[in-house]
This record gives sequence, structure tokens and C-alpha cells, in this order.
Amino acid sequence: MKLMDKLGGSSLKDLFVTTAEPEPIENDTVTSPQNVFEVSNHARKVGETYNQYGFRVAGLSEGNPHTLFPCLQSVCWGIRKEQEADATLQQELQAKLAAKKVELETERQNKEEEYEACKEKQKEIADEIQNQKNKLADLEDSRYKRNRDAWIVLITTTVLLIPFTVYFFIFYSSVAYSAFFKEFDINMLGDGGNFKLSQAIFDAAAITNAWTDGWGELVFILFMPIIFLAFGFVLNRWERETGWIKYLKIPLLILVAFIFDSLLSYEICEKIYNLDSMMSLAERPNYSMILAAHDPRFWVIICLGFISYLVWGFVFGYFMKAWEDLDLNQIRKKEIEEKIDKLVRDLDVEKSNGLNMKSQIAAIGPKISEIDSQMSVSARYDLAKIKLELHNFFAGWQTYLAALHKSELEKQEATDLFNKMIETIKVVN
Amino acid sequence: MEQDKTTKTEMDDVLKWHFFNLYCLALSDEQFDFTELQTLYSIGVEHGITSEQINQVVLTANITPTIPATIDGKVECLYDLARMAWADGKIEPEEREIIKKCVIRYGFLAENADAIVDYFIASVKENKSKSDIINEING
Repeated sequence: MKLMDKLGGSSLKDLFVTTAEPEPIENDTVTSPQNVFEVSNHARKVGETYNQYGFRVAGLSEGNPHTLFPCLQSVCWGIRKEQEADATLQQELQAKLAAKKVELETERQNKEEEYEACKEKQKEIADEIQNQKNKLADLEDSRYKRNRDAWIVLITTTVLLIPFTVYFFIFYSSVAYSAFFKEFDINMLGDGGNFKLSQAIFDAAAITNAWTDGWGELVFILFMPIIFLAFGFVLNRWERETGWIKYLKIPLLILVAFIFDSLLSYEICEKIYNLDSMMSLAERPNYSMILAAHDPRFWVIICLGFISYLVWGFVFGYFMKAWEDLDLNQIRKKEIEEKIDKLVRDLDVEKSNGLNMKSQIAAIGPKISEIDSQMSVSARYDLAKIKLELHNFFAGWQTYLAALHKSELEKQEATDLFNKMIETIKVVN
Repeated sequence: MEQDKTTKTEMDDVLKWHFFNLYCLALSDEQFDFTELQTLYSIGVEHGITSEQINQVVLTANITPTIPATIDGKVECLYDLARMAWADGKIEPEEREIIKKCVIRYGFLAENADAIVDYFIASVKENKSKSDIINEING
């Protein structure tokens, strides 16, 4: 009895005491009693468009915004009733809903297939990741053996290359000195008046003597071995090239090196021959290539130089190959790791796609349920048509407002009310 | 539609005016809430009035203001107004003002107007029926 308490003890009857004369009613919207309520004036006439109807009804209510909403309601309900009674439209709407349902079901099926394909792809990627990991593990396992072989070759060739290069340096600097700067004299003759080849070629003091002769001579004999080292290096690089042209370039390079070496050898042998000729009483022909070809010393010098140059080139090739083998293992490992990283990224993308598809599939279910519920009700409505006619009605209403020169505020008020009404259409349906 | 199932009765001026007031009440907070609309039409059902008739009433705005003659009739109308106001679960000040105006227009003492409005609002909040209220008042 809270209410009674609130009334402070006075009875309800006392509360509802009336005055003798009721309060006079003032209402702008109320018209005189002479204007009777005539239904026929406000109903849509046969053949009248909703635009015309809107214009006419606005005129009847003088564009009063308070009457707009029920007018719109009335139009809406009227169209709904028409649509309910229209069997063809009901069939069409039912068919549309059925088609929409089929479309959604097909979409769901397609999405499910896509999802299955996506899952399959995820599995493939996961398998490939495992495969690559296995490869990486194998590579790690075999790394020791591979590297061990490569290291053996590398160390062996290094051990060979260092003394070989030193020999090369000494040999060619001596040969160059002997061939171009050294004076051969009688003191070089050994026992029995024979020239010692080692003395002719090798000169331990070649660098010191060249320095004494001048810096030009020194630079010349120091750079001579480098020419042959460069020949060896170029030979190795060309050997690794692909294409037929290397088969022309390499023999040409070897030929040039051979000719160069032969000239050095010829120079030395000629000097030895000339000294021999000076010591000999007999008349001897001038030294020539024919004589050189029959001179064993000529070939010994070539063998010591040219052959060792070729061998140096081959050893250098093995050295490079062993070095690359070591490096290749690293590259291969890096390649696999990069591949795994890419596959992991791909897998993440596929998983994200899969989740997306799953949520899309899940979203289709409620849509189908909604269509089912729409199909099960007794009547369906063409909302687009209702909205269109409401717009037409309101356009007519606005035309009347414009004709009455209503203020912008009033026009805006009507538009706002209309927009609110349009928003409720879906709810009302 | 529920309204269509009702027996169509002719609306007298009192009912027309009453429904116009209900409609004004619904619009008083400048938002025509769907629940308020439903309440309007369900009140129509109770009075044997179809939705079309209600639409025509609010469509014309061409009504003779007519006040119920009996206390019971006035109480019924005020009860309906309070129900309409409470339909959306809240009582706006504008809605309260309209009920108060009606209380005064119906000839009740102005000094009692607020208490009467409070009584009707409390009654609809407590979900009392129209007949309960009439019995309570007639005591």
C-alpha cells in the first residue's frame, strides 16, 4: 500500500474530486465541430498514385508534422495489406526466398569445399615443413663428413700451393733474370768445361743482383712470376665457365703461356750455347729453334716452368673447389631455413584464411534460418516496394509543404520524421 | 494482425479524442517508439477499435475535443495514457506533462493533479488492471 501512504492519508475518492467546469481545451490541431471526420476523404482513391495521395493528405492536414507519421503508417499498412492479398506477389516472394536459400546453401557448400581445400593445403604445407626440417637434419648429420672431405682437400692443396707458389716465384724471377739481365761468362763453366744448368737458371742472388742493376730490373723480375700466377688463375676461372667458347680460350691461353715460357727457355739456352761456342774451337752454327728443339736443357727449363704452371693451375682449381664445397653447405642450409620460414608464413596465411572461411560458413547458417522463418510465416512483404511508395508519398507531402511555403525548420522536421519511419520498416515487418 | 480480429465498433468523439491524446503522448518525446505504437493499437483492441480507425483518427487531426462524462470514463482514459507513457519502460517529463494536462482538462482539481499522475504511473508500474483501479477509487 505504498501508494496510499504517499497520498498522506487522504482517500482516493477525495483525490478524484472534480471541479464544476472542466478546464477549457486549447489545441491548435483541433478544428471546429463543423468539420466532421470523413473517412472517405483520407483514404487513397482508386488510380491515385502515392505521390498524389501524399500531396492530397498533406493538404487535408495542412502539412501538420504530427499527422505525417500515422499517415506513413497508414500507407505502410495499406501496402502490406495489398501485398498480403496479392497471391502472385506472395508466390514471387516465396520463390525469391527459396532461390536466396538455395543460393546461400550453394555458397555454404562452396565455402565448405574451399575450407576443406584450405585444410588440405595446410596439411601439405605442414608436411613440406617437416620434409624440409628432415632435410636440414640430414644436412646437419652429413655436414661433418662433407666438411671433413672438403677440409682435407683444402688443407692438402694449401700445403701444396704455398711451396709451389714460392717455387714459382723463385723459379720465374731467376729465369727472368737469367734470360734478360744475367751475363754468362767463363766462370760459370764447371769441371770439364760444361755448363751447369742449375747455375744457368737458378741464381740465389737474382733479386740482389737485379736491385744492384736498377729498380726497373728488380720490378721486372718480381713481376714475371706474377704473370704466370695470373695465367694459372685465369686458366682456373675459364675452366669453370660454361659454354663452348672456353674450349677455344683455354688452349689459346696454354699456347701463349707455352710460347712465353719457350722464349724464356730459348733465351737462356741461347746464352749457354753462345758461351759454349766461344769456348769451342770448332765452327758452330748460330743458335736457332731447331737447335733448341734438340737441346735437352731447353725442354728441362720448359718442364720446370710450363708444366709446373699447369700443375699449379690444377691445384689451385682443387683448392677453390674445396673452399666452395665448404661454403655450399652453408648456402644449402640457409636455403632450407629460408624455405622453412616461407612455408611457415604460408601456413599462417592459410590458417588465417581457414578461420576466416569458418566464420563465413558460420555466418551463413543464421541467414538460412532467417529465410526459413520468413518462408514459414503466412505473409511476406516486398520491403523495397513499401519503401518506394513511402518515398513517393513523402515526395508528394514535401511538394505540398513547398507549395505552402513552409519554413525550412518544418520541412526538416518532416524529413526527420520520415527518415525515422523508414528506419522502422524492417522492424515493423 | 491482432487489431483486425476485433469487432469493428464506431468511434465516438470521446474515443477519437482519447486516441488522439494517446497519439500525442506517444509523440511527446519526439520519438515514436515501436512499443508505444504497439501499445496504442493494443489499447485500440481493448476498445474494439481497428488499426485503420486509429490511423484515420491521427491522420485527420480533425477531432472535436470531447471529455468523458463519468469518473470511470476519465479514469479509463488516464489509465490508458499512463500505460502509453510507460510502454517504453520510462516516463519522460513531456509525457508526464501531457497526463497532467489531461487530468486538469478532465476537471480534476489542479492541486491534486500531480498526486493523480503519480497514482496512475505507480499503478501501471505495479501492473494493476483498469478494473482494479476503478474498484480502488470507488472504494
